[in-house]
Amino acid sequence: MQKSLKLIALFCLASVITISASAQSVSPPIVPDPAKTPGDVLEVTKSDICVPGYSKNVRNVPESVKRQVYASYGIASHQPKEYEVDHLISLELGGSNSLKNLWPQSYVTSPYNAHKKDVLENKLHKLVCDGAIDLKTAQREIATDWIGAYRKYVGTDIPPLAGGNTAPPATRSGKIIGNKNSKIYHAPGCPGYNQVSEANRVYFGSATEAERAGYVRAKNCR
Amino acid sequence: MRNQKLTPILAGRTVKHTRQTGGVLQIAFDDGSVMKIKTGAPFKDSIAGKKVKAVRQKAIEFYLDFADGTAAPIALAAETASVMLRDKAGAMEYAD
Repeated sequence: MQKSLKLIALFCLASVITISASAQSVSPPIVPDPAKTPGDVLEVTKSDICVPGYSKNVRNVPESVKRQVYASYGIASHQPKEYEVDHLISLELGGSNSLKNLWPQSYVTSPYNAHKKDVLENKLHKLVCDGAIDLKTAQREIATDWIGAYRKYVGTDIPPLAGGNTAPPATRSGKIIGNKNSKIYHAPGCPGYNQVSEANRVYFGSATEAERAGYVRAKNCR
Repeated sequence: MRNQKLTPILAGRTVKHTRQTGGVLQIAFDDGSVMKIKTGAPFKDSIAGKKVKAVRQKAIEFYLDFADGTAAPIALAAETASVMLRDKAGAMEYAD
């Protein structure tokens, strides 16, 4: 009986560790995955979206859809106020509630986060309604490169993403990146650090943590 | 289950006619408004003349409940981004 209880306790502990490790291994996306979130729009015109209260009429993302969004990005759990399910092409720019237009955006990453994108969305909406840019252009620019669009229309207080690397700068400078296929990890400053594709990345807080998970340090990273 | 945003908008309107073109069902109402629905399956029911009482939705199952006690089930193409309603003047009243 006591042996069984010990086994159950061990199993529970292992489950907690596994769940915790997998939750920690997902890095918040800074830009959406274009294969999952290419962007999608409603059949609307400038005269539709420039009516006060428009967004309120079209906002509708059920919890079931939100869960699908988090799952598709591998986010098994998250803290309150950690993410929003963002409309890549914002509602106020004619974006739809389709899964193709939704992605989990972090509130807490820096300097790229949902608050910054909100500023861009408001700015683009104003520019469209003022006639400074056309709606299709605004939709295309925010869908393809929201950080570039921010720098173009809002300001350069956030840096461009270097080399298309979608990992957050804090992660790039402060964490270990593992390759889940090769089980090799790279520390900041090592030659292969930014070479691991986003799809294969697993993040660790330290080399020890990576090694505990069965990862081996890259040979060119001594 | 009840669509709380669409029900108060549509309640009391009577279906004038419907038209299914490809994957899009258009429902015209007596007040001149038109609802476009992206469907996952062709809609063949005859609902002209029926007055809407409520709208229900569960994932891709969409129902128009009528004052006569009947209901029209409509299969949506997707859980969101499938329904759009514009008034007589073409102004957006609802989109999901």
